Amino acid sequence: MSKIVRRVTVLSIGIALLMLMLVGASAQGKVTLRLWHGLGNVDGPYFHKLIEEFNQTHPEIDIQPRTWGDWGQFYDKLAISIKVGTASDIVAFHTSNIPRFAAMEGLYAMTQEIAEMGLREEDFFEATWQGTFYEGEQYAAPLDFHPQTMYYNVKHFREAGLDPANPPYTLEEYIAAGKKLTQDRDGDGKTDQWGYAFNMDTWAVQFWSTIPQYGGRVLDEDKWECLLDSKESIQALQVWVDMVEKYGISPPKCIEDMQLFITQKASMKSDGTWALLGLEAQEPELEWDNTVFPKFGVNAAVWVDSHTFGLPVQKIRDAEKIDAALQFIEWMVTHPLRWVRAGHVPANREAAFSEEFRTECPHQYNASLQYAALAYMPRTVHLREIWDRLGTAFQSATLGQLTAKEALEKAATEIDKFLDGR
Amino acid sequence: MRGIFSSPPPSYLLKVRTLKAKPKTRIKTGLEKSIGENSVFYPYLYLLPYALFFLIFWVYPLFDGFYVSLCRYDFAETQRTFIAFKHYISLPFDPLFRASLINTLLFVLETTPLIIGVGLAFALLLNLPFLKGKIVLRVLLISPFMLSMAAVCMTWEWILGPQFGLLNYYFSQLRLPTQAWLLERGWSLFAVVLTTLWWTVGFNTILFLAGLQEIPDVLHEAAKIDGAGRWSNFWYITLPCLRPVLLFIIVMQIIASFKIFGQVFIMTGGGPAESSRVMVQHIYETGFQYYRMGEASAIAWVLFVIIMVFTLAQFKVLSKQTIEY
Repeated sequence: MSKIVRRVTVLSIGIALLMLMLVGASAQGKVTLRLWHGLGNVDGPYFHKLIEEFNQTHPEIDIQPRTWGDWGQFYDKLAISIKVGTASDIVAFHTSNIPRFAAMEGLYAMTQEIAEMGLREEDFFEATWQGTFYEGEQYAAPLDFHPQTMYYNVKHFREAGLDPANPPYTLEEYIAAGKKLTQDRDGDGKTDQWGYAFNMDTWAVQFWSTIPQYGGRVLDEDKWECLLDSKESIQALQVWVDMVEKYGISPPKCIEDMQLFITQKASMKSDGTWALLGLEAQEPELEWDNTVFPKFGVNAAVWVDSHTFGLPVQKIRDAEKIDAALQFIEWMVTHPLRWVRAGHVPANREAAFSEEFRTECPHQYNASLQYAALAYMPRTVHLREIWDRLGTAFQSATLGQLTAKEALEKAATEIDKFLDGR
Repeated sequence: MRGIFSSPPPSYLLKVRTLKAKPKTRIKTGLEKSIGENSVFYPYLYLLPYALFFLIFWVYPLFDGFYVSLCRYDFAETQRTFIAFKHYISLPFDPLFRASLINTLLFVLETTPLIIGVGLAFALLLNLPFLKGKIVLRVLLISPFMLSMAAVCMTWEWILGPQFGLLNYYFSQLRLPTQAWLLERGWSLFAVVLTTLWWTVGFNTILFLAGLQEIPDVLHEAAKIDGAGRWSNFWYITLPCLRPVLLFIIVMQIIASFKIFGQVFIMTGGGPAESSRVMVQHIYETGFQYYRMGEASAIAWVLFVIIMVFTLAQFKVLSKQTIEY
């Protein structure tokens, strides 16, 4: 071997050893955790700032977050990763998905650990606490809930002679307000400003809200039969069709409801509380406020889901990592007012009723007043498929391609097939 | 005169002579005889790494996937329950499967002639001897193909938006009726076709152009001398000489069209009301969102058989002996 080759070889080995030592030194005593989530570009960056704060105050733990940007893709990725044992150490996800992942034994149960954190059922809103259980075991600690809320344009209300401090609530009030707010401003025969814009994509959360409002159900008590084709559920869908066709206060074929609201071509729009930060960024040009979701039916009910943290099952259970993960979960859950500034409502009752929350997060506080009307989705492993079928029915009816009855009968037949196990 | 070697050479010269290396010969081992340079198996050693890769990641999953299609296999379960061909038998009765199959066939029928016809037309245009700015035109045509599918689809989703889309804006300026392109049955799939055309036509154009430039000029000149017009020239000279390129493009285009997924997933989600739902989307959702792996494998195998039948038919019809003049 020539001298140069020998020297280069020795130098390379030396550098490699040095790097190994440095890495080893930096890793010594520090537990590194991967955290996956699907939070988008509104509350996602806020969440990352909180993680940075945790990392700084807990130097022995290093949490490395990663967003998949889209909840759909996040859940697809999570399921496969859990199956092959490469999932992250912690996930931030929705309690509605606990049955699906718990049924495939993809999450570590945390019943005892949560009790040791000092978290008790009476500290939380009942629905948010119950949502963390599956077949008697607790898989997550309640962090927040994010219901639908109604956003409205305060300037449009004033111009139409409506009181912004008293927004509509019942169906009749919405129709009356919507008709005043729906206007052809430039006299060209086309509506330039719509009273109430809603999204006709398969997202359909507003329909999820009106089903229990009219006394309907998606599944029966045993979750073996789909009840979407009931009279009540059909009524719950018909009201959205009527917004477009009968009352004329909603734009037809609409999937750009948020853009319509931001550009002030729509005066009212319902969405989740996660949209708050995005709307705050539109101020002061957009003068807006929010209120509780309307009660179109006989019952007060609003679609809701909750963010929480879970521990995916790994190939080898690492007690040190689990302990560090639980520290992070406790830090987040026991200080919920940190997180809710991203546009959510604390699941903790004391925090939700506190003066600090009411004064510093007024829009979230408005949404929190619905705590007695929270309507979580059915706790079933088939939720994803039910969601898609229900969304397709909603879209078919609101786009005028099928009647509400036809759309829901089709959806119910399809859902019953896979509930029967095909 | 005495030569330098008239007396015995000095000993150091003798050493030089004896230090000259003789080629080593040794007896080859049995292994070396089997796989040595002269062995008949030697070339296959070079193929072995890829062959292993092919067996592990292509052949094994293919057959394991077929076995999964004969089982009831839910992600939540750890065992596969053998049910023979029940999935295949139930597929025709599944409205979602029927919708996805019909939409996929429609997409193939709409896309293939368009992309091939428009690609050939652009290639003929670029092959015109008197055309100025060929390089610029070529770059403009191939540029969309350099973009990622996600970027193309999200851009077109904005362009085709019902309330704020660019296309509807210009339609309204021209007093033409606006459409909810992605929310109307029929239009939604056609919107995906147009987006795919815009994105991929440049690639076929370049392939056709290469094929056109391979045709000897003497054939066109001879045809011209014999009195052939432009159309006869194209039909009897250009097209037959393009047959190998045409076969390649048609086969690849049809296979790619059958596998359409990304554009539908991003732009329409299979809607409205399943009117643009395609087979690969149905496979993805059934397997990775609803966790019914057995059923998803069966649908994948049906798609594979359909593509295979189409491909074999094309080879039979189109791969006649190359024309020679």
